[in-house]
Amino acid sequence: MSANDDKVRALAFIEQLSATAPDARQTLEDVKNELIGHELQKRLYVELGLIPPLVNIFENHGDISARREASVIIGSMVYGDPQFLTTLTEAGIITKLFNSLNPHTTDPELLLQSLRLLNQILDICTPYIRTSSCSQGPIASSKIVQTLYRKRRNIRNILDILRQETDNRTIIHQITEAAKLITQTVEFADFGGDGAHCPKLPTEAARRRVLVEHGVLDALVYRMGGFIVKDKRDHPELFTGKFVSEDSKAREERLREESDNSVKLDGYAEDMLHNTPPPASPLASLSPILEALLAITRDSIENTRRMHQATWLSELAPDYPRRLTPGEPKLKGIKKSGSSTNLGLNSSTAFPPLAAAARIAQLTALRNRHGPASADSSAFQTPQAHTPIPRDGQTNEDEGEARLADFENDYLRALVPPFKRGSHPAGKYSGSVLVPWLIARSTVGDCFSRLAAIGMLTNFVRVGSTTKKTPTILGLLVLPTLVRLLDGGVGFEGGPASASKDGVEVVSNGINRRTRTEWHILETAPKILAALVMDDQDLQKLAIDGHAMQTLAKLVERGLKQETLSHSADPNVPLAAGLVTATLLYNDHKLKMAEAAMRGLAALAAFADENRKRVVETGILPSVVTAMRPIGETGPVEKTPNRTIRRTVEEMYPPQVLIAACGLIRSLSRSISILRTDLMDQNIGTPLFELLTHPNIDVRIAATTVVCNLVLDFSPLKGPLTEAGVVDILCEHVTSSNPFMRVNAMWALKHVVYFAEMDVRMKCYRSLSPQWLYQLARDGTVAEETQRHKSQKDFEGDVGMGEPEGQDYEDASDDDIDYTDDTYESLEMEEDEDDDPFQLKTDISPDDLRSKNVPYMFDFPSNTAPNAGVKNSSYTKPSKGEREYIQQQIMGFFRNLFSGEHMEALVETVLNDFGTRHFVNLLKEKIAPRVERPRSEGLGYTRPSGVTLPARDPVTSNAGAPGSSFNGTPEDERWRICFDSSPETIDQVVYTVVHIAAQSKKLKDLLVHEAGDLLKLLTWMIYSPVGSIRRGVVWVAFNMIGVEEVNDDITRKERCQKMVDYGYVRALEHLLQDADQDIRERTRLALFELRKHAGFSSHGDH
Amino acid sequence: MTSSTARKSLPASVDWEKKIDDVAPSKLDLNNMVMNYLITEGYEEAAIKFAQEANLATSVKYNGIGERRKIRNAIQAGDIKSAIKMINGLNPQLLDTNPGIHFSLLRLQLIELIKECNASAGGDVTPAIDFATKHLAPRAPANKGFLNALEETMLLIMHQPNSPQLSAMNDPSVRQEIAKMVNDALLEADNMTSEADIRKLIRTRAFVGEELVKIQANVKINGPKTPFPPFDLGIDEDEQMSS
Repeated sequence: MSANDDKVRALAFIEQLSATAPDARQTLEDVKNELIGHELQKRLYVELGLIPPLVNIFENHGDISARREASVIIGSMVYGDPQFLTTLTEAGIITKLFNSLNPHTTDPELLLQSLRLLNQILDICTPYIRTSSCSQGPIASSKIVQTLYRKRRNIRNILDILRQETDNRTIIHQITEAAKLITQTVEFADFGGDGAHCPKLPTEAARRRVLVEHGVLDALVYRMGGFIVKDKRDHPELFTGKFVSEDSKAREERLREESDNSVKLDGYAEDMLHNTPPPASPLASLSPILEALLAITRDSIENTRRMHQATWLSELAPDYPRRLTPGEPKLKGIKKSGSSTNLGLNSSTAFPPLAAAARIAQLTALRNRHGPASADSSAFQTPQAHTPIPRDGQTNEDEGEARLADFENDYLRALVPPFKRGSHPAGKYSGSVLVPWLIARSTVGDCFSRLAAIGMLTNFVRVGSTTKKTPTILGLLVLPTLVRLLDGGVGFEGGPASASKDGVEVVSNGINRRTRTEWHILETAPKILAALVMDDQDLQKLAIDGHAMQTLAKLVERGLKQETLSHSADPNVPLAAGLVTATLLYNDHKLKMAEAAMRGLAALAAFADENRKRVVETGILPSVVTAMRPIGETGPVEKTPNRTIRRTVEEMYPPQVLIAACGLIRSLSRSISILRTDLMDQNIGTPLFELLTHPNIDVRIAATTVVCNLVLDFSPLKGPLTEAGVVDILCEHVTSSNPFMRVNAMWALKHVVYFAEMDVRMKCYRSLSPQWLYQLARDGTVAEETQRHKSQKDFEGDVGMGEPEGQDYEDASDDDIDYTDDTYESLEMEEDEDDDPFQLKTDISPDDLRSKNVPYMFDFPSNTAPNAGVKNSSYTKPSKGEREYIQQQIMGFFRNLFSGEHMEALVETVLNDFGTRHFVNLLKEKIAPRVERPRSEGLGYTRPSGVTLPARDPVTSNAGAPGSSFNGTPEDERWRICFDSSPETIDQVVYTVVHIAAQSKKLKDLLVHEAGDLLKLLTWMIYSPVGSIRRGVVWVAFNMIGVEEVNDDITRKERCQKMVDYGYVRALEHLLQDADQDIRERTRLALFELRKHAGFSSHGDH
Repeated sequence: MTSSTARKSLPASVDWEKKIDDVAPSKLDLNNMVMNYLITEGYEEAAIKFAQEANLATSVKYNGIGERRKIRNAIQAGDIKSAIKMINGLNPQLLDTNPGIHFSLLRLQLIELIKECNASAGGDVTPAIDFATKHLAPRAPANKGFLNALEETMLLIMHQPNSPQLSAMNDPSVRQEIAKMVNDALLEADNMTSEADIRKLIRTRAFVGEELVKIQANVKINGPKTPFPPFDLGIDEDEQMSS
């Protein structure tokens, strides 16, 4: 058949379809068989105009089977050239797909196909893909996200799909696809560059909130419950804590009875919170449900709490949680669960049980034998590594086993005595009831559900819904699993062999389930690993001992290696069907893998210098730096940054990769030696400098966080970066409307001025402008921000926040969901560790934030923060409000601005610009204490900066010196001074004063005469629990005396007398008893000098 | 595990037999396993009958069992065209996402065409060449394996109808292999493993047996050395997964 025949045939088909004949089905079937798998044919048909009639049939045709066939052809088109998708999107396919999602009116098969199509489009249009031919990709996927989250009707349809109760295969698949759609759309990140594609895309936090408000989270929990019920029915031994050797006949009877008695729910359960769900169907898969739940609850205390609201949840798993702790030897049932003869048989893959629970039992036995105090490592023989289920008869006796054995050996040693963890809440709250079930689930089943279970457990640890012991258990169970998974796994599906497969082979053979499984592991496991070890040095060490670092480094190398795939073939020959997509997906996978692995490495290197060295030793640094440069540039990096270069998104690797690379570099740059040697060798400054002006704001933020470390005074890059104009860029960033950008840019500027030349300091100060600094330092916000808050408040009031659970959807209007700017909506309030985290009310409105009565608590939403992967060490403290953060940075900026000798001119300039009185008042405001009556036990909470006063030092309400008279309080009642600012901010203020006082005599006199109140207030800081703040008080006194100045007897005496008036003698006397020896000695000297120069020797204050 | 624990845990032969006898597998589990085998292998009617007779509470409709069987039969019979149609009906994504399988099927179709052409009176091979040009040639450059396979197949045109080369291509095992590939891919796409549980179990048991023999060889046991009983599973040789 010639090409011309083809064309005639195609035209005939299209004509028939355009006529919308009632018997279109047969034609469609013919067209389908013409097209599936035939790229050239697809192209021909699209060119001849197939898509508009096709979409029309899909939407309107009377014959349901014709509509189904049309949807199949559309699906085939999505797998073809990305250009087809553009045409489909232009024909309005996305809206039409959403219109066929109502389970009450749409044919189930058609609905399923529509869901699949939506997922398919999202699958293919990940933002990683950035070849010019698919620039439409992000548009199609953003449109899906938009359409889903802006129409109540669509969310409701998804909810109704999830609520369907059935054993029907189609509907089970519908539920799976709906869960996938939720996961994909929640996690969707629009990296098109500041939302240029779709400016009104709701933020991730907003999407999650919509899902929670509309009951989608509850529906997912309900679905998950089905699996718990099923596990409980099929494997009761998992739920009793001991293995019940149930008589097989009895079990059969019980099962039959139960299946007879189980009530078939028509429609959907009215109240998913109170009715225990029916057992899940054997055809249903757990992982999509868990993944969707994870997408909604990740790093959110509020949503995780909501997830546990269902009453049936605690009834399902009432009493076995505590059985899993290492201290109690009741693990036989769990041990059994790991054996392949039990659960393993039903699990569908050769995913070997880890027998980790068995290891706990061994551990317990060891403990009992040797006692917890025994640290004799020789007593701990390596337990037999479990034997994997053979795959295709092969046995695994590679070195991996030996390494693993080492790992586990170390692990046992580390566990006896158990970890010391101060950071987890002690007591009342016993952790999520889901933990034991998830732990069991992390050892059986397919790897998707195992990884999802591990991910969820990790999230519980991160949001604090676990018992004190859980992290230890997770470390024991989960960490080895993850490390082993990453290493290609002993017998894991996929395995290391296919992992090293050549890309061409993977692509041309199609991406089958095994490949997808392996990809999923490699893309997900490093991220979970990062989240798990991020804040925990013990776990970091253990993961490294398990060779996680080399493994991750390999993944980075492999992921970033440029590979020429089938594209290299003759460009005039169009690729066969599937190859285009497969190539895109393969490249996509490699980059995702590299991104995840870089995040993992950054987390491993978060704290310990030696770990950073190890990362460098793996030799990946050149690859990482290359990834930060424009694609295809491999030559030597320019030594000096060039300020004129501005890159486009398309020139660079995808934003996620750049952000991960920045995170890793930042982790490494915390080591001075690495900064001075390895990073310098790579000329890291140059690519980084270019990233500072990347079109995507998240990349800019990530680059700025690295710059923070590179512009410190000891950094050899400080000079080159400053010369290239980093100050101008940072000053521009500091005015950004993005709070993360502001804080990080201010942070970097603070570092720039530290020990910098006078002209650099002056330039920074001038560029920032005094007015701007003043406003931000006072309010933590600028005027435009206030407006922002206002609209946010309105928004909270309007959009269905008040709609009760189970709202009447019929009455609810089908209106759009309205989003206003929701930059602040994911603010979460953290409370005391001792409290039940599930009792917390989290979301606080920005108005509350502004009110002085609420302590600033702010959680950088880690899913949007640039440093989601790695926390800056300064971030590990309890989180503060953004305003608090920015104020802290500004105060730090002043402190560094004034540091060093001979900065009088600069200080005077600042004081002149601000007006001395205003500047002093600003400082006063930041350190002003408030006195608080102690609250009753139950309600009270300790503020981080709260200071409990000794009873003999009661406090006056005016800001007098400590020890002033005090009336009307019973002696035994303890009052507390509280500060609105964090200790970090106070520290910055104290040292700002120290630095001013260190300058000229003129400034000292100015302080003593015009800032008396400030100096008085400073004496309060002797009660601070923070050593450096107390030391700062001594420094203030010392500098004010001006010991080193010889010819200054008159003003010095006057100054010192004033200082005595301000209460410094008394304050210093208090510090003579300080716990810190250094402070005591400095105090002794300062007190001596003060008394000497004030002209009296033994007199206290007047 | 240390050798001491290994010795302790090593059962004497008699204990072993006794232990095996003591295990009373649940009938339900056994029935489920049989059911699983029937579904995986595509025996629809047998599966339905078995479910009824064993009173298995399975309300799930196993759609697609029959279709898979039909597809397999069509491939084995060389009717690739209908096989592809049926595959597209059952799982429209398969051939779009799995170029390897599609190529193999098209190649089978080409072989059939060549056979037809060779057998026809004039021996006109134009239809075969047209087919190869249109459907197979564009796919070949992407993958060396494809290219080689295509070249090999095209050589067949030069051969006589009864040549050994052609009959090698005509070997039923070629079709069987591809039929299995298709069946596995369809099963996988349906969230089911391509391998029946019972096969996995057999492999596991064979593996355990081997391991035990290894341990036995490494550990000296006092008294007469009795070998472990052979693992006679009563299954054909080719069904057992040898390692």
